Amino acid sequence: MTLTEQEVRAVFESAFEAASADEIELSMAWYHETNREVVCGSTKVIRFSNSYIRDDTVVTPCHPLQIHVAFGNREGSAITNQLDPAGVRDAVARAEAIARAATPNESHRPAHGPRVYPEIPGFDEATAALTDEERHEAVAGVIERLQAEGLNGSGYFHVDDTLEAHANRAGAWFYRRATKTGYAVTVRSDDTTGRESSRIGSGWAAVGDLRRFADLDIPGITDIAISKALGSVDPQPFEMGPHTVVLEPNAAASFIGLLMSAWSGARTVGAWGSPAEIGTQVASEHLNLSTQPGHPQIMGSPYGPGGIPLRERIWVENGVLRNLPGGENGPAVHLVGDGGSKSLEEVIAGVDRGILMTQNWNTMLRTIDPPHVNGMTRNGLFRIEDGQLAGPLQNAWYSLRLDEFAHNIEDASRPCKTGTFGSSGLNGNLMPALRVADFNFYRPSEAV
Amino acid sequence: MDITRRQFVRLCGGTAAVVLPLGLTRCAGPPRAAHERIDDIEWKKSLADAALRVASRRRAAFADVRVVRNIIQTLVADDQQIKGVGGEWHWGASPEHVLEKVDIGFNVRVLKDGAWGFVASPVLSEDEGAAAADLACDLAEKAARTLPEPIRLVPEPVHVDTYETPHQENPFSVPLEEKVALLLRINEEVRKNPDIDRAFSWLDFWDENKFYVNSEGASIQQRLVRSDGSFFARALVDGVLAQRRFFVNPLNIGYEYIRGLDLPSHAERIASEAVEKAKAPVFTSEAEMDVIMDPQNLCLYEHETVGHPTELNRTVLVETNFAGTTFLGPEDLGTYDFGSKVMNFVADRSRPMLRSTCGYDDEGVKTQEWDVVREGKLVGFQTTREFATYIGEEQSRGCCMTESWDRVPQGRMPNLSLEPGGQDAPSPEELIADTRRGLLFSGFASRIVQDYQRRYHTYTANAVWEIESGRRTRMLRGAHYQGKNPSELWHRLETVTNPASWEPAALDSDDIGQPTQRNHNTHGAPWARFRNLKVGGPTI
Repeated sequence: MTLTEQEVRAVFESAFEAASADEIELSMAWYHETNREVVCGSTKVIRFSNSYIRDDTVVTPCHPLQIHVAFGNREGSAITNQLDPAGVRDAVARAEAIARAATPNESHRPAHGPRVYPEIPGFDEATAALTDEERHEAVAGVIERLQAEGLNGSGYFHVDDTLEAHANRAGAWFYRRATKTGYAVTVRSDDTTGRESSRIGSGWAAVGDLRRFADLDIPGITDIAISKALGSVDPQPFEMGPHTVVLEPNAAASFIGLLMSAWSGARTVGAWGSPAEIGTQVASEHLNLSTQPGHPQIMGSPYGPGGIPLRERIWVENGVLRNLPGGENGPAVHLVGDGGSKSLEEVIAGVDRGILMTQNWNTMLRTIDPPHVNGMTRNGLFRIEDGQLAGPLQNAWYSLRLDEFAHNIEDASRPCKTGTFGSSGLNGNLMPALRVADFNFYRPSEAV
Repeated sequence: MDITRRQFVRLCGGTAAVVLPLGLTRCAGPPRAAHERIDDIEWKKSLADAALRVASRRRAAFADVRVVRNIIQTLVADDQQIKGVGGEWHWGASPEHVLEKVDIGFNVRVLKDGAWGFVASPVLSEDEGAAAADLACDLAEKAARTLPEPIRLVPEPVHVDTYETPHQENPFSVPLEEKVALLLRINEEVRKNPDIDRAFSWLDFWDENKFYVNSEGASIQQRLVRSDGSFFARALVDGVLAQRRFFVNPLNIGYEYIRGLDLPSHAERIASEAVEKAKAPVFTSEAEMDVIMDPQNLCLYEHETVGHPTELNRTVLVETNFAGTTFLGPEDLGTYDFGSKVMNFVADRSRPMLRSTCGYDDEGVKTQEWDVVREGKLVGFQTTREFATYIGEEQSRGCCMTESWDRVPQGRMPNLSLEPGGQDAPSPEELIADTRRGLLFSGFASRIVQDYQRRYHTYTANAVWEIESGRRTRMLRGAHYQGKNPSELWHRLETVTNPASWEPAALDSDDIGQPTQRNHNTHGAPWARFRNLKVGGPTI
């Protein structure tokens, strides 16, 4: 069972008692390691491939305790998942040993005192109480359908019951439970493998980071992937060069993540860029971006880096940069890209001749000056003619300047919940579909 | 599945001596924390046996249990500062942070009614082991309803054994102060070059303690010790930033490796090469040229162009939803013309000191060595006890791995290395001397392009030199090579250097799966020359 507030306080208290350092900060929360995300709480995953369940896994609650101590401005850190007194004592001692050996951190920030955080409920009792049978039933229906229709489906469905807690000796305290669920599915029109698969159809759809299982429409998401797979059989080559492209929200998310990094001067391709100037027109007027932790479709944690309370913050308004992430502004998370009221279909309807991109892969900044982006399409690329989808296209590599991409945005849809699951950032954010002019393709690909 | 509220409240009441706090067993005697008992085989066996008894009672065809403790220590010096975390855990600890991590737990996997079920827990007790096995059986029964045909496993002899990475000096016993002093000294040496604007060094140590048992009688205790560390120098010349890394081959070995590297002694050269790189002209040609790759550049190329395509689980569409598939199919085994006659790839998990080397894989298969490509022909895949059945093989190659107790075992890439030429093959110096005009790519760089079937590839390097008339002339910036697998890549491999030039190069990390898990593997290589590879400039 996920720890209650009282139980977390007890563990934290044992760490405070064990510490001799001047300062100690404690956290129980998810965190990233290289190529790995660590959940604080329980996680249950069904993974299927070749249209059958190959892994149904349950990881019972684990609460990695993150300990950060400082002697003056010498800092040290340790993590343990052993919360008995001896385990906590040992981890505190490890953190303190590192701090004693460390050099002074000139940018050391003293621990902050109590802060007030917006109340953003993220816990859904029904989702946390979902039984294993109910989880199984949630995907069994779509698997049955995939098998009946001779389609090859691979999917990932998870339900997490998590907690996030932070405290320090200066009196700071934060505790929040949250549930988290998501689903991603790839459907291939048949079982062909290897080089012969370049003529088959492949479709994908996903929604991530929902609080309520009741909001996760697994059959509906699978329908989209099936329809894309069947619609992309025998994809046709197309002329390389600039095209008007409609990027679905998951595909747009990759670019929006890169844009926020670039405007912030964040570290990319091994170097730090220069942040953009507040008040400049960094994109066309169709781009609006804001952080909204309390948006009903996000309901994200209000706890930011260094204990900053995260509040609503506008980053880009009608293409003009209003604020930059960092410091008291907090990071660019819980993003909402408000593109207006049009649906994806209405954005497509506005395109005389163009291309619809479902998903992308390996979209990265390759050089920082100029900001050059390269990547590839995946799982559904379609020709648009007279506002209608007009047949599947072969996947292709693209290459373009990120700053030009931002100014070439010609239209946007209302935002939709993304499901990028680590393949590109902004999983579970609300992103618009974007219509972008002069989107440059340079090499066709046989990969499916 | 967890401790009871009552147990917890008693723990919180401060009477830990008479209660069962988190992570403790129900064994008799004074309670000791799991991290203090991790070497107690009988204690771990009691947990595992409890799980196996339940699996047997539930008529599981196969069950296995892993009790795992990982300790990871990462030390980083950014110039003369040992970096701290600054209270930003929530937003992700990164490798740039100093930390020590202890992670303990166990998992039970059962094969019941032809399907897998998997449960993991950080609470080490017999009761928890039994409960986990019971739940895993429930999960497998449900999964089985979706299976067109039952999952089968190839047989494996029953092994009862221990394995420990040969090492002389436990990295975790070396005083932190000594490690910190080493990092600061490296950076001090790097910074002696006035054109260097940043020095960055790190040490990374792993101690993996794994106890494995299965329902067939296997009982295997393993301890893997990993040591890695290196540094880079960043130059700033006329507004141009350039980074040069000293490439250390990460190994399974003790701290004696770090001592033997004498890292500070390489600082001057690396700093000087960083400056040379910052001053170097940008390579702008689009052409076909001879390309020489050193082992540290080849290792990423090997990993992506041969390693991922020959993972049998990708080949049979198991990783389609995230990592992708491959251009190879199971039917290609024994027939596919992968490359030139000098292309020989050996997979193994048994060669001493390599990153993936251990005694047994994570389903009790003894580690081994086998050919994947022989004289350019595809002759082997990476398999587990399950995936071996897909290609009709009678024994697993031992590629089942799990990173930690909370991740499900999967087919993962082992050490996979390009073999050197014979004793009469050229040395790296002779290879360069024999090249009239070409480019030398040194060290891997993350700036790569590849599709999710690994058909098309573009790679860069940490450093690139021009070769003219058999001599390394000047450094260039921004060059890449590219091509379609295999006709434009491995078929253009013309020469590999001699055995003395072979190095156990390795990447920093590799990930796969949903949720992702890391993997460690070596991609050893000699130096190699490819004829007429497509090369180009910074835009890839």
